Amino acid sequence: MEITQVSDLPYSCGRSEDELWSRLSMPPDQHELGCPYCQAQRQRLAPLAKATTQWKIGNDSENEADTALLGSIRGRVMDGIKAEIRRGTRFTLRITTLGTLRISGYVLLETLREVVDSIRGVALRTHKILPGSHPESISMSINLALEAGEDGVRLTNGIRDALRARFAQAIGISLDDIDINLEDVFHDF
Amino acid sequence: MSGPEKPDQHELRTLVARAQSGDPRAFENILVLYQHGLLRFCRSMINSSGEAEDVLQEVYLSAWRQLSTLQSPEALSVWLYRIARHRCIDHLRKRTPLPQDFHDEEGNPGPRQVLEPRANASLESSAETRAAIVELRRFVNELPATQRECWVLKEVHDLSYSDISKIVSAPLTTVRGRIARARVTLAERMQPWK
Amino acid sequence: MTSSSQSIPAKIRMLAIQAARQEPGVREIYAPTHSIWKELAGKKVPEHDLLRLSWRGDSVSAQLDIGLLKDANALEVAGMVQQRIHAVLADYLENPDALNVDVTVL
Repeated sequence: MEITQVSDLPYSCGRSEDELWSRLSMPPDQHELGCPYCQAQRQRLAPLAKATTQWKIGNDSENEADTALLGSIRGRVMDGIKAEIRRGTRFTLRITTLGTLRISGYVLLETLREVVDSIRGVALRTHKILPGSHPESISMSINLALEAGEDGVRLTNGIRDALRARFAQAIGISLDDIDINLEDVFHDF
Repeated sequence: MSGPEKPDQHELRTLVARAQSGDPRAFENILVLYQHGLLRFCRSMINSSGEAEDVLQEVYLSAWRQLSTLQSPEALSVWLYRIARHRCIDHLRKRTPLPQDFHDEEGNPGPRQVLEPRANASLESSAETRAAIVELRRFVNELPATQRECWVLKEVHDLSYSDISKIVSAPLTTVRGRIARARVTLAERMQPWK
Repeated sequence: MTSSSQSIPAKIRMLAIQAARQEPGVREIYAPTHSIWKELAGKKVPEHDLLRLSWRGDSVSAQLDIGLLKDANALEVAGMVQQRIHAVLADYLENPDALNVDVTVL
């Protein structure tokens, strides 16, 4: 069984240890200067507080030392993830007399992201590709954040045009519905 | 905590939304933001650098596969630490007979292994300070596991009581109690360093 | 050359893969899905396995996954690759009409 209340109770002067602990990096306030309990507890907690602070400062150099290691761990995992998503959902491009031509949903999403990212004044949020009404078409649904002061209608029309042009040129398919939802406004400082 | 600059709310929402839509670059950017903290947390839970690095890899993969369970971008940090904690506990379970102290805090001290002193632990100027940190790490490592994880999340990762309570799935009062007890023990053991 | 047996030699599969590689716009041929983690673990997939084959009765299905260069048109290149593979395999098979070639752009 776990005891849940230990030493977080107020000192005799009414202050809690938590309160005192959070103030340790600051000079004693008026109360602490005149309070023998708080002074004694400050002294008791000082070595722990000092070592804890140094531990956190030491994290910076630890971070530096770990950067290469973390880069390689991340790289390994991302390679696996990319290989997996590349082979995820597939869309039919065309059924010919010789067989079926397909494309990975990942390529379609990457194309979508590339187009939207090239347009200033919007930030792409959630997005997805859906099968279109016939094999050689797809639909998409896009949520965007709009930069404050930008013309949402002009930008969404521009995005639709750019998407249709890019998908025709790079993929060779037409786009059915392009649902664009402006869900947020952001300020670019 | 150091590391890359924390994104603002818009950037965070954008990163999470894009990662949830299957954008691997957005997901990788999220990992870059949290990787140092997560590795430190895994190390503090596992007490073996090599194993902690393997677990971190599993944390990343779990996070990718569970992205749809992340309800709001604001919960990202808690969500990641929760995954890390679960992966660490799974790992420790496999490494039986370890952490019975995850079940019985009033039992005896936790894992007996001594936390490896990090070769590059610090740039502190004095040898004494360095030694004090090594000692503190050792004392932290000897805390019962449930106290250790809460104390580390609070004092080393600067997380709030409320976030810690969500990460370890324990009531706020329990978390406060664990941290308070850990502090009492650690303060007492650090007295010679006065 | 013709064959009625349910196999296509590695040599012929390699010819089909080489033909696909020669199509302008093709950047690479991807390994089959089941082998991705194997590959990450450093295990090599035999090159002729890049062209997967399956048989059902007399019909043969060939599958290839390709990656494209930046400016290539996916539908056009995939279509050309399909024709090249079909040409190589059909030349070997007794009944080319029973051959199906599926190409996926990854």
